Amino acid sequence: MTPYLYLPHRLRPLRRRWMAASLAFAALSPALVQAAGFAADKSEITFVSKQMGVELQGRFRHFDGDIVFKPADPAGSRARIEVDLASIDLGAPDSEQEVKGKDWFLVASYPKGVFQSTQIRAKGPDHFEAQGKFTLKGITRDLTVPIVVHHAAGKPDVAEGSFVMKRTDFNIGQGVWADPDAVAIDVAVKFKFTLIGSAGK
Amino acid sequence: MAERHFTRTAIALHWVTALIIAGAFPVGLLMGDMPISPLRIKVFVWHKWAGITVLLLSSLRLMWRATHAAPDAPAGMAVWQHRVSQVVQWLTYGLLFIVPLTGWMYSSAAGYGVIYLNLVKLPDLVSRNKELADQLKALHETLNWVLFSLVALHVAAALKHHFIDKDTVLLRMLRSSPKEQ
Repeated sequence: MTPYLYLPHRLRPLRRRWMAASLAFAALSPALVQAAGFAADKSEITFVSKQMGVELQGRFRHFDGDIVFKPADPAGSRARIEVDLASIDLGAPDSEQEVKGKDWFLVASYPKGVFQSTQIRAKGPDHFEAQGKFTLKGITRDLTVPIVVHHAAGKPDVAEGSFVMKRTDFNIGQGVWADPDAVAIDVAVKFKFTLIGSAGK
Repeated sequence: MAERHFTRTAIALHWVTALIIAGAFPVGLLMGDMPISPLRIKVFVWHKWAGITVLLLSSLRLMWRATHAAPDAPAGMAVWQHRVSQVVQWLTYGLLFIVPLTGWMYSSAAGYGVIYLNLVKLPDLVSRNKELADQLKALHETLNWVLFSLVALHVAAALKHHFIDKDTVLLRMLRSSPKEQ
């Protein structure tokens, strides 16, 4: 059992030399390089928006980042998630084209949505709370996200969480779209990250 | 023997349904080409509410018709004409159910639920599936044109009865008891 799931940037002095050697080896063996800290293909970021009260599911196909998760040391844990906003999947190409435009995400100028944790705290067994900065369309706001970590024998841990954001806090949906009846102000975001290096429990 | 007539309820159901379809049909034709906007979102939702209303009214109508017989065909009308009118009417009745149902299925397949009149959340008839959604959209449109053709026949026949045959076929769908007029 490894107490540290992933630690490329925060090496303990005693392990530095060994890590340098193994990183050199890893560089020769791309399969062993786990730059993200989570398996992107086994992770998901989805959201539910409401149109005229009707829930509509969406997701982002591509996102990247870095999660350092230490269950025994939440304060030493951190997460940075970068979402490729142009990879939005609404199930309707014309809607996807619209939300990339200036009234919505304006992806040409602001291609990424970023969450950077500032503090992670334990809230109970397998329950955590991540405080951080959430940046969308050039606007940064504080965001607190509850996280639950699920364990399954022989499988990597999965960190799950959700939060509700107000799209207007980030100027998402301006102009005619300011109308909250057509598209609700609140957007419920859900995420699931499969943490690399956490198997074998 | 007094001539049977349509009940006020039957007449009201007929014309309210006709009015809703007269609105929902052209809206449905045009809304797909609307640019993405809040109005488009609302128009789609209103169109769905209209369709569900047709479905509900048609259910009521069928129950009403089962318990309240329609008037007989005018005396002297050719048997084949009566048969054709019956076929057209029952096909139309069928489409009054099938057209809204295919629209509802299309909406479900496209991932859009329906909350009828913002009050009642309807179940999804099929799960989200882009390919199925495209097929259901095409089916919904085709069946609408079939319905349009049947309604055109129905209207043409009604006008023919009124202006050429000069019988009461059209009038009896306009007033419940023409003899009292």
